[in-house]
Amino acid sequence: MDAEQADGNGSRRWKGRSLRRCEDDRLLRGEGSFTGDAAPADCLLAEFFRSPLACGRITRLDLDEARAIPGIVAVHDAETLGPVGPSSVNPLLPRAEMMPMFGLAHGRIEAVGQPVAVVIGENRNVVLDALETIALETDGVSGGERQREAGRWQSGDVEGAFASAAHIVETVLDHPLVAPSPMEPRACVAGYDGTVLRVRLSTQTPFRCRDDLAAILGLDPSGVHIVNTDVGGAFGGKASIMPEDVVTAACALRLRRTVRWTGSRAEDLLSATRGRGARTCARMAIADDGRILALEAKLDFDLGHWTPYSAFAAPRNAARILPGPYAVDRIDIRLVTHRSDRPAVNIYRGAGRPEAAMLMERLMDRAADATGLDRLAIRRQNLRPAESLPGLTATGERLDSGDYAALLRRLEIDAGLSDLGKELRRRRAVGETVGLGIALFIEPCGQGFETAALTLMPNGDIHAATGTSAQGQGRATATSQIVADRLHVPVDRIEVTTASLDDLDDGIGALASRGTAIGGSAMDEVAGRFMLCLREEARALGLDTTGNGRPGDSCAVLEGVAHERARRGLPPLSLSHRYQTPHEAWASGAVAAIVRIDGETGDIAVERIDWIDDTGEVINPLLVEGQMRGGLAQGLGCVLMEEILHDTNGQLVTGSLMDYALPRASDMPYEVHIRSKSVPSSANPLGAKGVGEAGCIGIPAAILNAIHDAIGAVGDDALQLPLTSQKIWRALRVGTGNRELR
Amino acid sequence: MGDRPVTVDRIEPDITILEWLRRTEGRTGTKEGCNEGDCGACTVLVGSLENGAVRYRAVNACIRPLATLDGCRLLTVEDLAAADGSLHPVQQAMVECHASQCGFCTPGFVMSLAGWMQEHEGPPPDDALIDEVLSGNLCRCTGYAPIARAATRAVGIGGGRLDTDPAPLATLRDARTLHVSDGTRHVFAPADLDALLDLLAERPGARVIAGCTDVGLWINKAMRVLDEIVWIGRVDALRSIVERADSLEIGAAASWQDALEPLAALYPGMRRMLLRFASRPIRNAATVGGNIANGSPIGDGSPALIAAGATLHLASRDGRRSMPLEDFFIDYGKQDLLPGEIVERISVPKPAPGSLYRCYKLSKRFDQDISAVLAAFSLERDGDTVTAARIAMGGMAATPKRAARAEAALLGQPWNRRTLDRAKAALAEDFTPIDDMRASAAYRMTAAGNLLERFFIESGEDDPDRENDLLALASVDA
Repeated sequence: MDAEQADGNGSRRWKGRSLRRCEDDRLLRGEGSFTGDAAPADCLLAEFFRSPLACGRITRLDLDEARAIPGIVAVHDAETLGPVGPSSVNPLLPRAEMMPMFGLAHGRIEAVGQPVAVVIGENRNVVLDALETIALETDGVSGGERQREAGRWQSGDVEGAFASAAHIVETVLDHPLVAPSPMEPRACVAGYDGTVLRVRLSTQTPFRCRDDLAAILGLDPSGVHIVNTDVGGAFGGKASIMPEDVVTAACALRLRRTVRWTGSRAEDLLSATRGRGARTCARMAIADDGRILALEAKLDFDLGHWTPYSAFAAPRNAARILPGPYAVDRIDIRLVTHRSDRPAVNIYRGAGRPEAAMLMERLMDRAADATGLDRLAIRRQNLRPAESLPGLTATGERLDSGDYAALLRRLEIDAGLSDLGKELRRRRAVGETVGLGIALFIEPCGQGFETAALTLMPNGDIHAATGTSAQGQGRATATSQIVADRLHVPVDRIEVTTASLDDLDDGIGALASRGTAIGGSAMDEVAGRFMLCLREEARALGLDTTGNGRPGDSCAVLEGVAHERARRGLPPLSLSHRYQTPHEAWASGAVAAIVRIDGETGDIAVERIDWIDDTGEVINPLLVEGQMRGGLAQGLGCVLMEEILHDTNGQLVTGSLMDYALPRASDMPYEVHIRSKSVPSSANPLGAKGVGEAGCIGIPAAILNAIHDAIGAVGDDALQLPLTSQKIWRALRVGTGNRELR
Repeated sequence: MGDRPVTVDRIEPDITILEWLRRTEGRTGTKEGCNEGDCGACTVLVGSLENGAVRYRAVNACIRPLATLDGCRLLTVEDLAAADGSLHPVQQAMVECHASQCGFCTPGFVMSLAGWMQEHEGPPPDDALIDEVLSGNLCRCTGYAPIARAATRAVGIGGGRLDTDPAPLATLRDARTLHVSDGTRHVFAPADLDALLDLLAERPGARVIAGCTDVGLWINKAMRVLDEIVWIGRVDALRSIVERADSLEIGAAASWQDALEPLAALYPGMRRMLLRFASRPIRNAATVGGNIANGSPIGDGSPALIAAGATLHLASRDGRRSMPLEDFFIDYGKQDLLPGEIVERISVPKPAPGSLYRCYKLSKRFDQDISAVLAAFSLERDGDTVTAARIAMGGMAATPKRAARAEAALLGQPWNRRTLDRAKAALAEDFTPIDDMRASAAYRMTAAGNLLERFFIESGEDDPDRENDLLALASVDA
């Protein structure tokens, strides 16, 4: 313990620096190795026959013609594929209906795009030809809605509070389904040699995929090997095992061949998991002086036709996060989930947090309007004081740390909110339609464990293996900074493997903004212990442990131990660790957005974003800003343009990037000011919090409020997401006496 | 490809550059993100010999047939680093600015920026220019700002000029018609116009391709099998753009990007539409003649050029003929193009002094979207009296079409509100648009009238460039 104490939390020579990414050189040269880049010899191609119909019992499925085509190796439906067990579902909401997936459609069609049969062939043209011969008919009967009350969070006398309230404000907000849309569509390459099933998979959760595939296909997990690969973005869209993964692997098993499925963009839009998809409404009781007395909310989430592993995370998050950073003792939050004849809904960046933040922040603005209080003042008055943390919320969550009032104060000062307000009044006076929106938010960053292992290589370098996976977060860079500070070596002596299935028995991956808070803490702890081991080993080997004379540089010790062990024929020194976070870390932030609306066309421009974020201790500011800006872009997409649409027959309308709008460079705000006001987390040794989802949480809420501010008195229900120029235009006409098309 | 000549002796007519790179060559740096030219993950540079030097253009490899690389230099992301391994300035700047996260879209951005930087001179770019350069690339990780910063930084780093030595490509030039075939499927690429016309006379059923930005979708999305293609990109005469005393002569195979500045110089009111016509990589590939010959009722080029009074020149082995552009479009999918005949060039007259020209594109998105309505207007006046009027619209009928009744309502009349209202009313006789996913018939009709009104209002403003100036100001101001 002496060394540990002497080091405290390790030095901060590397942590906190905007180190350039070690991942970049390879990626910039086009040397990234993504799942679809693999080209194993003798690889067969798999494509899926997807249902063109939305629902019904299958009355006809004709595969014979496809099977007879030369070059086709196999065509399977659920019956001929062989036993496929149910996928697992995280039971976060015990009362919600679990609807596992069984690979291909079993007797019923549940959604357009659902995989019904798989066609395996020698080349793509043959496979596509075969797909065209398959015919499907159903009786067209819907699978039904099957609504469930999935949870209820109650505390205090809500009814009494509403009865005695001076003001009651309410809002309703629909969140359309959106497509996570990582730039790399999903892909899977599976091979089987008679003993081991090797699967290369574009996933956020390789360890769980291994266990899921083993369970679903009836294999021992030791017989399933997931191959590490670059993952081209995920955002929740690659969080859980999918039917195509299972079926591709099952075919490889049966055929004892390597089988590749590379999903297209069209397939991603048609049948990958979606995010959001909720109807939320709430009302709030306010005292005369602006105090919040009680909050009542109903959140209704669409699950689609099956529930991927993390399907309940978003609905549960939305409920448990309410009432955000505000002190509200009396709550009644009802969470409803329902099935639909649609593809599955799963987590998407934000996962319930944006829904909660937007609901709460709309209510705060409405409360300001009702009481006549300033929008900042009413927020300030109701924020939880920093002294109350750590502390429990009315929904039973334990907030670990944060200073929400300080965030708001900092926002006021740094953004110059009072000057901005004056400027907006001046612009309004000359006829501009402009608005300012404020939002505060909190962001829980995951529970559970993560793993890490360190190995002293024979040359004295360190190999660091983390259970956390990476899809662009710069995980390897940040990990090397954490290890470097603990071991007192430069980062270039550390080689990092993310999602390291070869070095670790278990792990989680990248979800819920937990990579640094939990994965980083696992690495920090194992590195602290490894340093002790190294010193002890050096002493045991009779080496000088004072280093090479340069304080804070252990390279000589590491090299000495490595060489001496190698000389004695001992295996490389190695240590692994499983870190369980005692508490969840909660990040928070405050955002101000300024929008300008073209009164004639409804066109919206986000002119400026000011954002103060409490991300806890920061390992690499460059990476943190990258996450924030990336989240911001997706948050902006959700509030202004993104929406999955089906027609009345259940057919997908937004089936290509021509019809599903993703933000482009020209859609970005003109000015973005990001500043940090960190309170270290008390939930983990690094003091780190999450940041990956922040942009999707606070930004949409602030933009939504800014648009309401710009347009003025229209009901909340008139402005439903996404706020396209068409909707704004219509809302503007409502405000001016409902002028119809001229 | 890169520094080495590649000979492909067996080629399917419809294999794309992307498919060939990834599956045949194992060059996987170039990615498939959407396979329809929307996301730009597949962007590559194609260098061709022009005026004694190699000129590079960023194009979407996913919708471009491999056959169109005959005699060209293909550069992919793997080719950009210098011989000593040091990164291209764009790559270096992207590292420095943290402009890559997951790395999947990254190669496409690198190529788009490298292609732009090759021709960029002068000061670092402003935001509007960067947005335009990046209009064909989607990124889901970075929020674009770091990539935009990287563009500026790359200019600051400087250097990184790609090899423009004409010699290697010059040695590949010959006058023979390229013909690759397995006996049943054929790829042709004639080297000159006569050979092209002879070939088409013998094979009138062959599919003529140029930039292939639409035909590429037939291949990837409609799964159409093309057994016989004729690429016209080798015919220099078809790629030329020549300014004459009273007209601009645009070869059928000239790209929209190449035609942009010459057209906008004559018709400033066309510039904004030209920038929004498609993303830059699409404009680099898509040709003026292709957009016309394709006959799409929602192509933006034809109505814009019809309003400018363009003349279409067709050629076949049997001879040449010309017609007003609007007469070329007979019905949906039916053009006045005889077997063996091609679009050779388009003459765009210079505007009469004092005439007014505007072109408006209405679509749901600013970049990379198909128009609901494309309306183009040109007007000449003597004093206050309208002496000539041309109104052409896209998205309003089965073909790009002139609004004859509305024009008649303007002609000889004073240019005032009353005349405007009559012309607006006449549009209902000119067009019976349809409902579809882009807009309802009622919306189209209303919007068409309102765009005419907008033209009227803007005609009262002195400077025809005012709209563009205001827009430029707006983006700088903010």
